[in-house]
Amino acid sequence: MSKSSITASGHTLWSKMPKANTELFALTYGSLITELLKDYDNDIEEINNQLERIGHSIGIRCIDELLAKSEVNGIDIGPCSNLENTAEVVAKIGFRCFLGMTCDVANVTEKSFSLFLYENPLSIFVELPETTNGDDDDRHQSFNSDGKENSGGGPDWSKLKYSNVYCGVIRGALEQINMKVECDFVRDVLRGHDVNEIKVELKEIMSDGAGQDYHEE
Amino acid sequence: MVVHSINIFDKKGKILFTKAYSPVAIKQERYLLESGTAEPGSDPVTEQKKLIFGMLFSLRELVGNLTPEHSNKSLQSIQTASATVHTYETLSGLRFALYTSNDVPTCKFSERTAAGAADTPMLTSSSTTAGGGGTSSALDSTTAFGRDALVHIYSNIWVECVVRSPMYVGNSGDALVECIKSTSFEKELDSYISSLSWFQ
Repeated sequence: MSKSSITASGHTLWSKMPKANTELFALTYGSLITELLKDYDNDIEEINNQLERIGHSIGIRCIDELLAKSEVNGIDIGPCSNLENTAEVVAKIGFRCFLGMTCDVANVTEKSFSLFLYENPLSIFVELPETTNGDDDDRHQSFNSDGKENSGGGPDWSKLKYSNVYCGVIRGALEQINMKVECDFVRDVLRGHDVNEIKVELKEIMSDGAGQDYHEE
Repeated sequence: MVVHSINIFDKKGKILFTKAYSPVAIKQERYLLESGTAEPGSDPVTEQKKLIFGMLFSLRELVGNLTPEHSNKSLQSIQTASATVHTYETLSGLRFALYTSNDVPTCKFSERTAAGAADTPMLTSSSTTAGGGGTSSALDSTTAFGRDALVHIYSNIWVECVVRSPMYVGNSGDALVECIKSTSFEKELDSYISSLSWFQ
């Protein structure tokens, strides 16, 4: 598929999807994060993992939904010939049709690509608090994962990957079409960078074969 | 015009869903069960379904090799003297196979007369389209064709019932078979198939 037809398909599919209220969506996600913080007792690493897992669960469903919707609307996505093509489909059709977001693909190599996300609907009302170094006597000293001492209270908010759900979604969706990838949020507007960047690395293309039942003894 | 049965396989060949509709198919299944000559411990009906998967799998490889570089390489239907199998495969590895009688055309652009292919099996793949959809305008375009019905089943019934179910865990595995049983997939599928204009 050519780049312009991919973009056009993204717009067509977006117009066919039922819409939800952006604020409701953002606030619901925010309350999910707050609940996670309560449940995991401010353990940021664990929360990032849980968000990724939630995203994975969403991603395995998104792929079939995308394939079905495009089939119904006469858009032929077809098997992608290379990683750049896959990246374009994820950015221009996937993100566009489910979230209405504009995304760009960059830094395409043989085994990885980067996605730049501009307006992120999840974080429209969000501001991460400053990491506090409290001086309460009864709190134990805690160490961050990079060994820096964080004496006293709060969690290290700069480690929170607020929109880590996206990484899980990409991983889950690509897993269903035989691509094993790892995604990471490298730059985040909430942490002070200028743009959101997700780096996707292709680990393996899984082979499409018949399963255990078909192997001869 | 009769629908005999439908089978759904995952990308590893596991039988996710299978149902026989016509009396002929149900009788054949019962006959297989009673006089099964398979090895002890395996179910002859399952063995037969696995053979179907094996055939679809091998034919897909074959069609992929025969099709020119940039055309669509999909297997659409296989026709023998007594029945036609319409197939549809998604990019996510899900395979649908619908057995019908010979007078159901597979999709809008490959209508064939019932007199064709007397006793040789006939394959249709999308790169060899027979022209003339002229007479098909009288038929309802989405319901009169086998493969289009499968596309509809995937997009509207599978995605709506199974993919959106909270029990869904990706498109292969035993957990998926349980998940399908817990949704209203079978009921929706039954009502869709009985509403097709060519169902009996």
